[in-house]
Amino acid sequence: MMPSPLALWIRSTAIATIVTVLLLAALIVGAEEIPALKDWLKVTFYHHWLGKGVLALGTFAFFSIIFRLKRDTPRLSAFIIAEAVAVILSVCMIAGFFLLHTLKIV
Amino acid sequence: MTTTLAALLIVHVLGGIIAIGMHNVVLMHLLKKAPNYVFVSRLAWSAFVLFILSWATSAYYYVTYYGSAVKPRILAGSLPFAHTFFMETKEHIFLVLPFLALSIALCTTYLRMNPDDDNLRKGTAFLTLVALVVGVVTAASGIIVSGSI
Repeated sequence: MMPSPLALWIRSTAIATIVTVLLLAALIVGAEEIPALKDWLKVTFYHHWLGKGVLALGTFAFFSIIFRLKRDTPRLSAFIIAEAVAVILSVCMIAGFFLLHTLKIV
Repeated sequence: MTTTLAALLIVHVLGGIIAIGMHNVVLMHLLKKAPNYVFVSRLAWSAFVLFILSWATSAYYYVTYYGSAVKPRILAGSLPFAHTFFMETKEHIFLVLPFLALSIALCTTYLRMNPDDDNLRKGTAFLTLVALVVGVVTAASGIIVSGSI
């Protein structure tokens, strides 16, 4: 049976969110640890935070469309749980990094 | 601070707080066996719109004002960790909220047409709980940042 277009969008945006939040965590930690990366974000996007936002939006849009093209029957609940776990991981990475940074451990 | 910036900051705070409250209501309804999905999906889409509004207004305030006028005062004060930990964490974890809100809105719309998908209802409830916790942490961090000046 052909899955509904809405189900395909739910699956593709869940995958896109997983990729985006993990990329964001890596980009945020990377920009703090590699000054050249933060400088590139500032020069290219006016402000490093805007750069992270624009790259997150671009990544999300790209992967949403790419995975929307897959037409097999998705197990939606599994993708939604995976999305929630990815967000927890990403948030813990970001908060953990800034905690260590504040404590001058990294 | 100009009147425009103050207005944008108020929209950012109110939009975010109302969106977090809406996610709380969405979660409470998703924990029921047979939620009113028409109501729930309308709330979820409203929360998504408010998070986008809150994101856009905070971007202008943060980029044009916070770094030059607020951050130096916090760092020079008695609570510099309000910026180095709370603001740095808040400004970055806030970036994930609109994506989460969109997924929640799409799921509740799907559940409106497929109310018997109990696994998706539970999965969406879990995702909404995660969004709610991220939202509350973000808002609480904002209170700490504001109180540190």
